[in-house]
Amino acid sequence: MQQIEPSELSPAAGGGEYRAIVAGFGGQGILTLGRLLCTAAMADGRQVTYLPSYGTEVRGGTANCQVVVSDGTIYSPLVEEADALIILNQLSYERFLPRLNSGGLLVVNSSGVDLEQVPCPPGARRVCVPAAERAAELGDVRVGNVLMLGAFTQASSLVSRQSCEAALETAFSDRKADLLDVNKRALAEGVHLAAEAQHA
Amino acid sequence: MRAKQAERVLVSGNEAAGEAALRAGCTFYAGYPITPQNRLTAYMAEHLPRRDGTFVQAESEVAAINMLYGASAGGARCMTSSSSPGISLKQEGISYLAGSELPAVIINVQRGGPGLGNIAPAQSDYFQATRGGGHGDYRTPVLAPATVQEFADLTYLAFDLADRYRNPVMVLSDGMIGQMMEAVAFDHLGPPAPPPKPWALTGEPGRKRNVIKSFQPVVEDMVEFHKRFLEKYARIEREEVRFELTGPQEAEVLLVAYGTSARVCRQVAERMAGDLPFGVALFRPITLWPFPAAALAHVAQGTRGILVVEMSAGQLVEDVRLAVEGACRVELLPSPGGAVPQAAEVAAKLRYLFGSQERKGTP
Repeated sequence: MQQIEPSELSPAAGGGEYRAIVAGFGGQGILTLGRLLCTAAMADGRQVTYLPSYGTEVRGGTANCQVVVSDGTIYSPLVEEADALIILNQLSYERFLPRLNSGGLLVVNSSGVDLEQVPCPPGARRVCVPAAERAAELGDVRVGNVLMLGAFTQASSLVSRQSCEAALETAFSDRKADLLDVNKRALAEGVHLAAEAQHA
Repeated sequence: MRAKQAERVLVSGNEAAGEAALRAGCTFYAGYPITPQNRLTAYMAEHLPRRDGTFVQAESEVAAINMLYGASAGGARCMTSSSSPGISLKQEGISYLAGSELPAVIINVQRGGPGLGNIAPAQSDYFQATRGGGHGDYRTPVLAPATVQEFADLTYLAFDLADRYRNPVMVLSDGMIGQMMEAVAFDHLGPPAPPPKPWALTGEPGRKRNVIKSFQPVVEDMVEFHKRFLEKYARIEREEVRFELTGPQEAEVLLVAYGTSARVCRQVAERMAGDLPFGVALFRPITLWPFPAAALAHVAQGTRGILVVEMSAGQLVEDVRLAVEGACRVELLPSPGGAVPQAAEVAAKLRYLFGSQERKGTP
């Protein structure tokens, strides 16, 4: 008979835990955004879980993923109460807002969300960036998700900018290497826009 | 494989199991697509041919399991994977593998049932997995991972157990462990060392003819065969039991859960200790068969009771009751149909059942 010693993923168990939900349309790069965030957090030496939800949904339907970043062991990968929401479309905004902790962070793609329709809950910190518009100006609408990652990184300080860039370099290598430059510019633009929004 | 950070990579459970199988020397995989295990089939399709193995997308689940029968009879380390409805289809083949004493690894990434059910994570195939599943008196060792790392480690182990006992082995995962990503290390999964298989059908001339079959028309032969089976299963029960105990040493109440529900329960045992008026520990079976009955009975001694948390309607709880033989109170928090229990729900149930002074709300 073998009693297995409890698996301790990190000696710093019980440390600070950060729970986020990334949500939008299928095709907006929601899942990629979540994975990039996890990869960057891993590079910073944190523990991560990433739980995608795409059910039977298709392109144009909803997609979301739940990300937990911690200094210690992560138990449930489900995010019932989020420290941050990264929202790329209206439907997701309305659906996930009730899950935001009081005092939580909202990073919103204002190109895809009517901000008048859904006011910012009291106590929450909302950072709005026109991700889709700016992505188009950068020359590739697909990089809206990375722009949002940049904005989130700036607004939350959860992961380092360097680790995000390293994550991009890993994700956009080999056959996708030609997309690295525009993604790096999108990340920088997201950081810049969020910094502006914060100081406004 | 995505990003490299030191020696750990961010992968899903399905990918981790596929990579572990390759490292265990799996040279034959046959499967048929079904959510939520598709990434595993895709991983094998992409990587197995590159490592000189054979990948077959079979015409059905039934065909896939019977292809394993052939590959295993030929001496190959082989694997199939599916999700609940597909695993049901494979049961006849698993029975034949067991009856012919052929090693094979079967991965079930469970989803909600019965019938076609849904694609959400579930644990409702517990009875099917631990009671044999197909017809006839046989058992399959069942390994239940709770993390992506463990999904890799147990898949690797499954190949060794299958060869050691000449028996199919099942890895019982679920849609959450299969689809979620965590950081995983693979370097400790060393080069495979499958035992020699002098029984295999290799076509080698000059030696005694090998016969592999499950058909035993003479009753006396079948009886002899079963005597050997019983000895084999007794040996597995002696040597292959695995479990994990977490939480305080002097716990008054014990949670019992495996896989995804165990993750939620561990959170209750370790993080919510301050919120509960009594100490709670978690007993997590890693082998569902052989079930760690003796260990559980020992741990349960002196506790006020057990709460079993399972993503099914009351299956694991039966093994727990058999293990403690009435020595303590055994309660159930069932969560069937694809719902993952929440830590707060578990804590509320514990408080309701075992909180002596504060029995206020309903669970």
